[in-house]
Amino acid sequence: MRQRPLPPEVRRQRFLMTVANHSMAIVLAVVFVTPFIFILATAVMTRQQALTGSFWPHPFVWGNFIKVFHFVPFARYAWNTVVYSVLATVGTVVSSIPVAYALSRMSWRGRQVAFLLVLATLALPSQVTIVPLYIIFVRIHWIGTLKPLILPTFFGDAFTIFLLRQFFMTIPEELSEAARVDGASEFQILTRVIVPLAKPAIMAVALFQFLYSWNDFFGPLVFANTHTWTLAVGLAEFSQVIHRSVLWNIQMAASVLFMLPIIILFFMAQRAFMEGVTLTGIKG
Amino acid sequence: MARIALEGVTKVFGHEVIAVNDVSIEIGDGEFMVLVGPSGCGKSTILRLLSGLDEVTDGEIWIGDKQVTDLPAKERDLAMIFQNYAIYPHMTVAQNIGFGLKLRRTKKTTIQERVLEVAQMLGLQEMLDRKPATLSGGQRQRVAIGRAIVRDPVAFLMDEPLSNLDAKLRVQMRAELARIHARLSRTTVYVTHDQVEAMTLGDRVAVLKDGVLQQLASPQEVFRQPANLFVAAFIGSPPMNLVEAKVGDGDISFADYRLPLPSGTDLSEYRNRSVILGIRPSDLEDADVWTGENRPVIEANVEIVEDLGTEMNVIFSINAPPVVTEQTQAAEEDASTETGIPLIASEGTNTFTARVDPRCRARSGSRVRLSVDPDRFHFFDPETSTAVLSKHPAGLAS
Amino acid sequence: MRSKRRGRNTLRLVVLLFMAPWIIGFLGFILYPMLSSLYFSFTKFNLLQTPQWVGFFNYRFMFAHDPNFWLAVRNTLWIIVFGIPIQIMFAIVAAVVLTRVRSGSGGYRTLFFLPTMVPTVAAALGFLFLLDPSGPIDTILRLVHLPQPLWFESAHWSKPSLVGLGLWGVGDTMIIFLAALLDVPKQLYEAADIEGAGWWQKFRYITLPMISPVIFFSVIIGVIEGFQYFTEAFVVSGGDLSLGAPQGSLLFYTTWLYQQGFQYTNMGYASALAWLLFVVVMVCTVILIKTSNRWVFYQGGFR
Repeated sequence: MRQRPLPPEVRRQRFLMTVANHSMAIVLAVVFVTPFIFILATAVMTRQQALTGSFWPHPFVWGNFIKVFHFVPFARYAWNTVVYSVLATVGTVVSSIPVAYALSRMSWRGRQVAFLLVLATLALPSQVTIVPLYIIFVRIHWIGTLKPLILPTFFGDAFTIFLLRQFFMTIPEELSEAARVDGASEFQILTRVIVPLAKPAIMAVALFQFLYSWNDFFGPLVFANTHTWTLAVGLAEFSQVIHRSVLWNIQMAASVLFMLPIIILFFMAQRAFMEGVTLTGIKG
Repeated sequence: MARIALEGVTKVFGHEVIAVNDVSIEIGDGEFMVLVGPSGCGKSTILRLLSGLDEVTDGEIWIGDKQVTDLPAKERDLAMIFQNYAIYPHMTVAQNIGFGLKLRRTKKTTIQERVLEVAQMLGLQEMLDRKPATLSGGQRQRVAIGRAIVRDPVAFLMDEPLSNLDAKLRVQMRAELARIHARLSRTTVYVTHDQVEAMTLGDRVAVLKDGVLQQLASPQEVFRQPANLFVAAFIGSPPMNLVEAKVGDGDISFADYRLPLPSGTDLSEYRNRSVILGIRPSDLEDADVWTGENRPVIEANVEIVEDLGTEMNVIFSINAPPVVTEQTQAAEEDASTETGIPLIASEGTNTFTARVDPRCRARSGSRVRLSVDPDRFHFFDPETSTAVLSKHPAGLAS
Repeated sequence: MRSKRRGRNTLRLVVLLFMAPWIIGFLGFILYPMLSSLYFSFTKFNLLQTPQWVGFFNYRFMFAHDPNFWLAVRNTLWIIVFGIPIQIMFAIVAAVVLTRVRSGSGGYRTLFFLPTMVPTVAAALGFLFLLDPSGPIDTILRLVHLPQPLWFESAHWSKPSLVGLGLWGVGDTMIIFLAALLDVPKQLYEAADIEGAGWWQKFRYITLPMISPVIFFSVIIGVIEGFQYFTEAFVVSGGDLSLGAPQGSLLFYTTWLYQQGFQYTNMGYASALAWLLFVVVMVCTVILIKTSNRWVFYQGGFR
């Protein structure tokens, strides 16, 4: 097929437009990526080099990643973080699924009120409950353990319930009815019909909760102690102890190790992440 | 106000799909041009090329005396009415109508005046402050029309504007569009697959198939002198009856019938060969009701009778295979989804429809005598599918 | 009849069973602590002795005699008033850029989103290094002979630096905007094209109103989170021993609450601060929702 050549001014204009768009994108990409590069580079510098604002490591000190474990009880913090994140994720998902189900796929009096209450707790600042909870946990000697962080996750999380409910609502009612006609109980409908269909949403909320716990700072700061600190608190406290200006290389190496599992998780489940984030925006 | 011209316009999507193939149409100033054809024929693409939303692959577009082929949409000063209206859901009716003026930094008071004027013309003055979500389909359609006319553009482009309305409203809006066109007499390009709209609204009709222009003529001419089998089968409802017929010496025969040839047609080229004969359902009449004229008569066994009140469709099969060419199929595919006429798809038999006076007494299973007017026969070449032109155009004689 | 009633009773039981985790959680971890912190807010309570009723003393003290309270309020409002709009605008710009780049937009999207995955503490530590007077940013500024602010060490630059840190992790907001932008019907832009709209007019009169629900959502979330701003400030200030540093410029509301409650064990005062925070957050949320129909367009009359 013969192609009519575009007039030069139209072609130029369009070319400039593409250049402009890509320039914008590249500038933004540089802004977003540069911090990573500096952090990574510093993580493998010598201590002296890290202090002098160098841009490129010379020599590469890969041993910094080992040294992290000597300077900080990194292994213990990491273990605490994993325990907290995994158990909190399990707790949140297991306890929120039936609640979301009851709020979306069963009809009962008071359902609307209950749902509004769930929504209201979404806006609730955690500070307003933390003092009395702290006092309770002091009394039962749970301060200094991870239990105050993990236990509440087994009683439903408002955000998770909300997202799952929104997703459950989109599953056609006929599927439940067909199962009901076949003699399935509500529990069987939930586990055999709804959960398999809602896998992407469950994946997303599980990822969110995992991330949340991995990141959580305020909770462990208040409830845990030096033995049970997670990486978030442990690294922040380490940073204060050495008080800035020194050991940037070790701090950056520790930060890299801290974010690495999450970055890997992200690349493994990028789709679920993006879709999940999009799902959170629907409620607007 | 301006004439619009397409010169050898071609549009290729990707590398393969030729949506519009070397189409040239010239639309006169103030003319109402209808582009009609089955879905996928390229009619909407032509409209998008005219509007500047899509770019031509080859060819030129002229508006007035200006070559606009490379001009972006916003500089062409056209107005377009979309199939789904595309009115802005977040703006009120008044804001929707006045948006184009606002973009041109028209004075606020002028905008208000113009919007009110247009709203009155369309009967929208009561709902100027309402949001589109609260409007009915017909009202939204009016908003879309109002948005188009308020700016006083050089031409209107309308992309199946009535197809989302229910049947009754469609008839009403059709009349309204005709009224508006009569009043503004602005160049209009109107895309539809509805042949009634094409016939009633168009000054001229361009029939398209697979991106190729089939015929460009007045609605009457398209109906009475279809240029080829496709146009013949596509235009007219119920569709034209088609059958392969043998040309004899002064007569023509098909199935069990032998009929005289019309006076003005020279079919000598086809003697002893076949030709495709087309008879419009409306050119068949119950011989027992219309007894006055002395016309040839064919007899048939009635299969189905559809009494529409003002007229009656008598459907009968004839002892001949159906005419199946690429062109008739293309026309039929669309017809079967759009019209309510049941297509009797019994393999191997050809069904004819006669649209007769409702006094006809034919019932399903009974026999009927139908008079035919040879002067209104249409002939098509079986190989090329193009019309065999008569010296005196068929149908125009009467 | 009988079996029907029994059926209804079992259904009720099932609902109760399914709702049980949340009901227990709501009562035990939300309602009870809320009420008891309301009570504590009217007491003097240091964990060792029993709470001592002091009436409105904590609230009066807060407003009349606690300069740090007002400092924390000012700093927090600063972050909400400047930080959140900048973040939202930046997220919209990034999302718009993603919609405009035809080739390679998937790669750009991943790069833009990646920093969001970095744990807050790691990001804060990273920025602490980047913006250190001897760190890379100031080194670059020195090379090109531009002034080198002290960033987190200067009371002037500390909050803007935190906004910069926030912008780095704007990816999740950006993704939500991206989805909203892609959701705007193409035909609306085409209609506007034909009506003669330029790109800014299309953005102003079509894109912005059509994505206004997401803007609204981001503002609400931003305000709620802004009032609880804590972690980043804690890390860059240098932790427990230097909360709010430099010169109190990073003393945020929750920082002050944390310090009162968990460093000075003034549980009564901390509870009063918490309750005020709760009331303010609720009031702001309600005001935002009430005023939203003036500028937010809800498709199909939702809500």
